[in-house]
Amino acid sequence: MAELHINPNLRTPKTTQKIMLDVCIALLPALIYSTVIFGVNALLLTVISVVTCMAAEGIWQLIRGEQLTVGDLSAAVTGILIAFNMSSTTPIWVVMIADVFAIIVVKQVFGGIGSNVVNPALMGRLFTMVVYPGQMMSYAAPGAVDTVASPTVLSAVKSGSEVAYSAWDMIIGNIPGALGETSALLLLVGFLYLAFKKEVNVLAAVVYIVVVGAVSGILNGNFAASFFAGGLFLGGLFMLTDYVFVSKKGKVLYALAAAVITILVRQFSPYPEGVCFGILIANCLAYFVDKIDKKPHVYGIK
Amino acid sequence: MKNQDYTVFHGGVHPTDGSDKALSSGKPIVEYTPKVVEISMAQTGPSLCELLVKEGDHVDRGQLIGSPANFFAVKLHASVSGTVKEIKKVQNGPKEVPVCVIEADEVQPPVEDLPYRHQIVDLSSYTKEQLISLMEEGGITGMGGAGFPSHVKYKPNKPIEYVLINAAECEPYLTCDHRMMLEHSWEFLNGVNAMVKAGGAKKGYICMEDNKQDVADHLNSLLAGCDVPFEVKVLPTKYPQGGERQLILAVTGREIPAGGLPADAGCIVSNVQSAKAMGDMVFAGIPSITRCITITGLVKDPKNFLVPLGTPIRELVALAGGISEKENKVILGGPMTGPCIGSNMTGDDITQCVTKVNGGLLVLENDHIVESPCIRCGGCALACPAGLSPFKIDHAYRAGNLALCEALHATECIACGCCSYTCPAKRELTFYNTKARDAVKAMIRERGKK
Repeated sequence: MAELHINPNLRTPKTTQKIMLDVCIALLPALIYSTVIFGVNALLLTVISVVTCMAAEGIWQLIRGEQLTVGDLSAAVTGILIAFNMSSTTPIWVVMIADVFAIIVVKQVFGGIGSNVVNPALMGRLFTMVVYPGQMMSYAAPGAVDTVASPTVLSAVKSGSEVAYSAWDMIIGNIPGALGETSALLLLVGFLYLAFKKEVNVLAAVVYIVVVGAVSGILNGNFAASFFAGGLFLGGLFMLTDYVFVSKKGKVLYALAAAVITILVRQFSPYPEGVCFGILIANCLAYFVDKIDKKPHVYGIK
Repeated sequence: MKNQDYTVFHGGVHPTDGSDKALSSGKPIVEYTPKVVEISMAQTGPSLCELLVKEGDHVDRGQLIGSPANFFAVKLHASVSGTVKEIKKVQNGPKEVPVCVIEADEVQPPVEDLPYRHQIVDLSSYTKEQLISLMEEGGITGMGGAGFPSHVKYKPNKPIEYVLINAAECEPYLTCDHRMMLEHSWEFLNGVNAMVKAGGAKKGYICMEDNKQDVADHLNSLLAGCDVPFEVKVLPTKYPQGGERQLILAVTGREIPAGGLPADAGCIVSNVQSAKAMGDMVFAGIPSITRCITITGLVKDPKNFLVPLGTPIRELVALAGGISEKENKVILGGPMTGPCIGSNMTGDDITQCVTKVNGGLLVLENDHIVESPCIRCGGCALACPAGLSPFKIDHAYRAGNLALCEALHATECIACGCCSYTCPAKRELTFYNTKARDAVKAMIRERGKK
């Protein structure tokens, strides 16, 4: 008799955990493909990354006496995404440093899930990219048994050298690159699953990918590479979409901000790829986009 | 595409798939008179009546036993013929409320079969004022839950264009209004007719969700050839379609201005059972002494009952086969807005008796909701029919920032429950948003005093 429940007494079966599990499921095709082309090391890195992220979050919360949220699987998603942003040849300890940095410094210090300002996975990757450029900037080629670094398609385009891969190779992911980013097609399959479940921000993803792909294509003359090589699909489909704005205008503004930065970095910086910077800076601008966004109409208020 | 003759309100949720209503929507109303009724002098939280009878008195069915002691109360009548056995004092929030316990006579007087049960009855001999005074005499009140006195509602200081009969019954599980319209159609329709005239409206609409197409078809077939100033309006099934503000928007395309009443949008909204009670009062002189209630959810045999006011709900639960699940939570009314009266109860634990505003008793599986951090998915803002951002108000209120709550229009929260329903992090958004609303309103009142 004692317990009284708070209204409403019906609640949706959807939970944070189920949403995050769906994201993991959506990333699975790309992971399987990655294991096929880069070898079992890709799978191993991903598993270790997931375990490290969840452990880091759990230990932090236990030490701090906070509500344990490891079960919501958001740390697992971060773990997968960090691994996806690494080459399959990256030393395990580098991945683990990115994991701990992402979870502790980028996510938990800011208050944990929902309170972080920027995407933890991208920030973790950026951190290790700056600190360990030697380990981070070399990518394995598909099927390569040794760890000889191959230039990515985008860096080949940037340096003006010949691109050795067909457009179809780029779409299915048979190219050098970070282990989870290469297959635009399989990432799209996963994204469609989330879109079907209405768990993603389709508009922002489409605007971002189309603008970045088209404008960089015009600038560098290689549309296939601009769209399908590099991290555009992984970033646009799975990492840009963390923040939701109520209005369509807000979503478009946010995606455009990310797109402009991405294009500028691709075009004018020494880096061949700018997705990471574009999304992280858009994350920081989210607050201002929300400020200038048209507020939804409140019933009865003129 | 079908020509759409309604406005779609923003947000809303679809809390169930219709299987909930199917539990009882096909069950004909069972009429039941208990041996003892317990009529509370506070039919709703804020209302209070003064008791006019004492222990040992014999009362006739329909006799006045309570006269309004405050603004929120309406007249109360004996729901059975019988003897006043006891005057109980029952704690109701901060105050003690008298409850009149009447032992029903073995034989109740029969209910006369009058023309208004078979056809539309001419209203030309009644004036608007007469109808409103009959409303007051009959103790007609808002039987959808709020219990606002009808005779006050029908005397606004603004011109009324539309009387809307709220037949949406948008709360999942409840089917009492559905059955009432199907089985007591003429009493209901005559009541609607009287209400449209009492409101001085040019037009009335009986507004229901499209999950009651059978009712719409039935009423339309009855009304074919009748010259009445009202019609049936079918709206999409979406919670809270029956929210007063949403209903007015859906039918008229107008919004009630913030802080206003339906009359500010030229409307009066009345509940199905209020209309049926109005029919009984105007055409048979029977005041509001019965209502239909749905006993449903985890009971063996969900049913709809037509009972006298004051019927102990535990008797109805027993007639519905009893509670079938030990790990339960018991809700008075619908699942979205009805209060939970306890968990892991047996039927006999239920002490509540039927009031004018009880639409149902619902037993659901017990659950334990644990809040987790907001993931800023924005789902609550998409679901909020008032157009608010509940997660922002929740955050501001918990941080003690009432000024921000006010800027976010927390005052416009209608406590429908859509935000909490939709939240994947299971945050108690409705709870904190209504707290924020009340706190901001209190703050504004304080400011007004200075």
